Amino acid sequence: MRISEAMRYRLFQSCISNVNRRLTDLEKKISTGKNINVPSDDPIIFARTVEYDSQLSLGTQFNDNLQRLKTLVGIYDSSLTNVESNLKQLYEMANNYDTANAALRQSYVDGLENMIEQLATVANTRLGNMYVFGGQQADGAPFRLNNDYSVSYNVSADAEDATDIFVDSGQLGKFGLSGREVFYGTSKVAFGDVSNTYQGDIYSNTESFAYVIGAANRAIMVNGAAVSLTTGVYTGTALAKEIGSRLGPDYSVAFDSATRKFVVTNNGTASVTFNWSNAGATAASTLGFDAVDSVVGAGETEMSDIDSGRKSFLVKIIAGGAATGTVADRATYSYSIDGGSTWSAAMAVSTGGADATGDITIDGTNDTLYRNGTAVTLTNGTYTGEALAAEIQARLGAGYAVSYNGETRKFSTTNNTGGVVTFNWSNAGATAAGVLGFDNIDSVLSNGDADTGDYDAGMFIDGAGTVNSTNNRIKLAFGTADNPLVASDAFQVKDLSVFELLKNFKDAFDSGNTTWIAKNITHIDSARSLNSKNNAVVAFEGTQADKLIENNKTRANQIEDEKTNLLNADTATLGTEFGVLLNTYQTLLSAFSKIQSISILNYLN
Amino acid sequence: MGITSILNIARNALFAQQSALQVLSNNIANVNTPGYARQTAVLNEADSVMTDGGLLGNGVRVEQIISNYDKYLEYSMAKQYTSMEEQMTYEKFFTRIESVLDEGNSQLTSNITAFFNAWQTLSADPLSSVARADVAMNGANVAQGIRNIYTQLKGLQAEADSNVASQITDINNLLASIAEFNKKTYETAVDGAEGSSFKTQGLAALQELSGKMNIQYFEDQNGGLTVMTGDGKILVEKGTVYELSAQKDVADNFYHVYWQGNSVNSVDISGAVTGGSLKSLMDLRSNQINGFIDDINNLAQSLMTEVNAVHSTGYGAGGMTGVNFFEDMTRDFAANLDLSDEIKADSRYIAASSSASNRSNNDIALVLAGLGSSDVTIGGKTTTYVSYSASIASTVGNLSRNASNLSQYHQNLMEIVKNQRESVSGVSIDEEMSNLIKFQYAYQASARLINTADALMQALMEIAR
Repeated sequence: MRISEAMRYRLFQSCISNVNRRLTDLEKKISTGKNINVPSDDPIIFARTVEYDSQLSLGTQFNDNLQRLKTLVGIYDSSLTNVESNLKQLYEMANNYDTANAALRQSYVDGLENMIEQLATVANTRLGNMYVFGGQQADGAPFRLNNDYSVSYNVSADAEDATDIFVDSGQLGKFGLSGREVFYGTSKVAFGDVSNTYQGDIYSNTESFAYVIGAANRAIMVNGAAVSLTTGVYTGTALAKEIGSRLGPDYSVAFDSATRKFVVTNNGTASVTFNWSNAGATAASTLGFDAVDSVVGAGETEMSDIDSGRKSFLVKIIAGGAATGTVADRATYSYSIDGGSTWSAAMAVSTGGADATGDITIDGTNDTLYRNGTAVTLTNGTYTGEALAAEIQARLGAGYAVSYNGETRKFSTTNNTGGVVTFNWSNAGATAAGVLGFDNIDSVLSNGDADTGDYDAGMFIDGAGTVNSTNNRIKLAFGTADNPLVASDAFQVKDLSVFELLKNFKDAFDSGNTTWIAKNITHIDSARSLNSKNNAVVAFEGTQADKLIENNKTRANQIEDEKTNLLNADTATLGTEFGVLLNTYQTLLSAFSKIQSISILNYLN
Repeated sequence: MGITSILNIARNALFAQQSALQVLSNNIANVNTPGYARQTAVLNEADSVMTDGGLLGNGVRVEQIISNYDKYLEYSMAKQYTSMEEQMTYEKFFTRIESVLDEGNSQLTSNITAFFNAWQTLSADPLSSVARADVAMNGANVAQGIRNIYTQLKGLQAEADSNVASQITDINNLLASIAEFNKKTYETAVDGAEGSSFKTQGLAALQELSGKMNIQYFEDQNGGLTVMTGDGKILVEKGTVYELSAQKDVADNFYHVYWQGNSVNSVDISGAVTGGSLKSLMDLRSNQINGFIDDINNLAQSLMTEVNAVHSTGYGAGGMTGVNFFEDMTRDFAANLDLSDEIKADSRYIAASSSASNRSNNDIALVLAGLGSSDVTIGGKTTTYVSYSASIASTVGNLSRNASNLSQYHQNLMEIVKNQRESVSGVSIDEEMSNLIKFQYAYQASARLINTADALMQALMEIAR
């Protein structure tokens, strides 16, 4: 093959250019320390590292959120410790009040006033712009201390919950505690006003609050179509299960007992609309949903707007008198379920069957129980507890021993038949369940076993003999000791409120009402339990935050390692390569100059 | 036959060697001339004459001056040149597009991530004016970043488009050169050194033309070049040029290539340009860069739509609602993406809550923060913003690397073909110098022959005195 001058020079230029290009590439890699500097170096890895950088940035953001949560947790921890210490002090004061002298009692009053002021300040703690107990209205102080040392909670029902924050990709976590959670319980307590004349006991099945689904509140509207719930009496969890089964397999429903809200998850592939604004959605109010339609996307959740279990019952004595004796002569009361806006007609007070005069009415609405699937009908009439126990025993026949405990106000049935017996309290026809104090759960009794009532026997707070959506299975009965009720005596069955408790104790200390103090000291334990629970929640959130921060750090380290493996250059190897190329470059130049020297021109004269 | 014959022979020999030397010196002079094909003087024995003693040689003559070139190699070179220039143009532009879309320069993905992170910070403290201002600032950064990318891509597109027009001008100049060379080739009509020179100059112009667009050509019987487009439209025939023109198309506002030929109307032949730098430029501005502009537009549209859809339902710090976060647009999203006037004026318009009364609720902020890692629709596809923006960098990286590899590949192929051409047509100094010595000696010998013939003549004259 002929070699022309142009070929020779072009070859040299091509080789030099090639070596220079590789040297430049190496220089860049050595200076940046990376093998991949622009997308074209390796498009796949470059794109991956861009995504890694985004993940790292996100991880940093999540950690910032979590650090803020930890700060909040620290504030909550300090606040709750303060609450516990004050409640403990209150307990000691209440315990010692009876034996304290006047000066000491006055100091208790002063102490309580300071306690309330201090706790009101704690309840209005701020972190930056935010009141930490303000839920979704944290721009203003959630609690207001009034002149009478009552404390008002200013946050609206649909704004009480603490907000969420992102703690991980696609994962939300609750951002703290709401004022409602800290200072109010989800268990109801029953108590009389401090100023009451009545010194006797009151009895209430505060743990038995139930959701009642009837014909008037059984419908949910989904995508314009009605979904009917089965009528009945439900706990929150049971009602969630019922809702889930009616909505179908594309939904899962849970009951959050901390907030008493129903959470519906759309597990389908398409969005659905819950038509809460539709007049046909009669269950909306019961389930805690505002009359506003909600569009729930696939995989998203819909939660009650307000606490569905907050219902409170106010009771005031209309006509004073005894709580015992002939029903017609007893004191009468009226109840309100709307905070005192409206009141019911007066009705006679009840002892839940404990009095010698009967006040448990059995009629056509509540006279049936089921045994082994067969109805047993009680004779209609008004009974004492003992008399009703005898009636039940008579109707059940031989082999059964039925008793009534005046202390606990509960019925108990013992199976002495020699075989297994089932009391079908879940049967919709077992209308006597409520008045006898049994939950809607069947009881299976072996021979010799006893079925004791789950809650107090007697009429419900609205005077009815069965559970309904007015009484929500709540009863209020009075003691049989000789303690007259006076008109204007007032009682409440409502969620425990720490501030209300403190205020009542202050008033009790102020007025020297040792009876009230003795009867209500147990509620301090409830308040302390509430506080302990919140402490545990806060501690858990703090621990979770630590774990998530640690996880994020680990993940960030893994991503950094991966990036390093993908991107980083071995500068030692690169340096060696650079040296080799430099030698090649110099050799090329040397070779070219030698080629020049062997030209024919060097040999001609 | 006589002494004069000897003189004639010597004279012809001198002329022949001199011609050969002149051809040699032309070769040496053009050793570095690109596209030059070395020439060779073909010496043939002059016609013999019949004498009493038989046929007697009559010396040497220069039969012709030929250019050493292989037309099939020239054709291969032209083809290769088309491919090489096409890929080199792609490489040049993709490198620049890559630098525009390189995350290290554009910060597109990190801006988007920072924007959605700012919403997270606001969600953790919805009452914070600092957090609100941070959201506004990061939103402005995202918008500014996208506008910058759009502007730079549009600039590259305009540059590619204007390069189309200047390429057409260059093509027309080259066509004119070829036509001129054709005329000169016909005028000489002698396949001597001058004719060869015009032919090789014409071939050099042809090579350059082939780099700009795909062409077909052939040599006519007189050595002139007829050049056509890839789909057969005449560009040069003998000395006539049928020029191309670049005209802006109403539909896309880009330069299209028109050919008029002999008719009154011109024809859009843009689709027939399937090779060369012209094809690359048109493809880059109409498809490749447009593709990236569409990607950025889709990204901007999705950001605007998704964010506004949520934001407008929320409430700002002062209870305002129905406010868009980004200025609402119906087109040119990437060109004009910006914060809405309200947000620019006052960051309190930034909505974090879905309730006017629950001002520290953060559900709107949470939904907006969640958009950063949620599946959204961008350009009809379901993806996340980070994946989408990372994929843009990956796509341009792939295109750039492919263009670079192909460019290198075709340059390497070009080298091979050029070397083959050089081995046929290139000038070797060693070869020319050795030939120089050869013809120099021959010239000296021919000159000595004249001296000898002169001496013989002198001797003859002495006899006659």
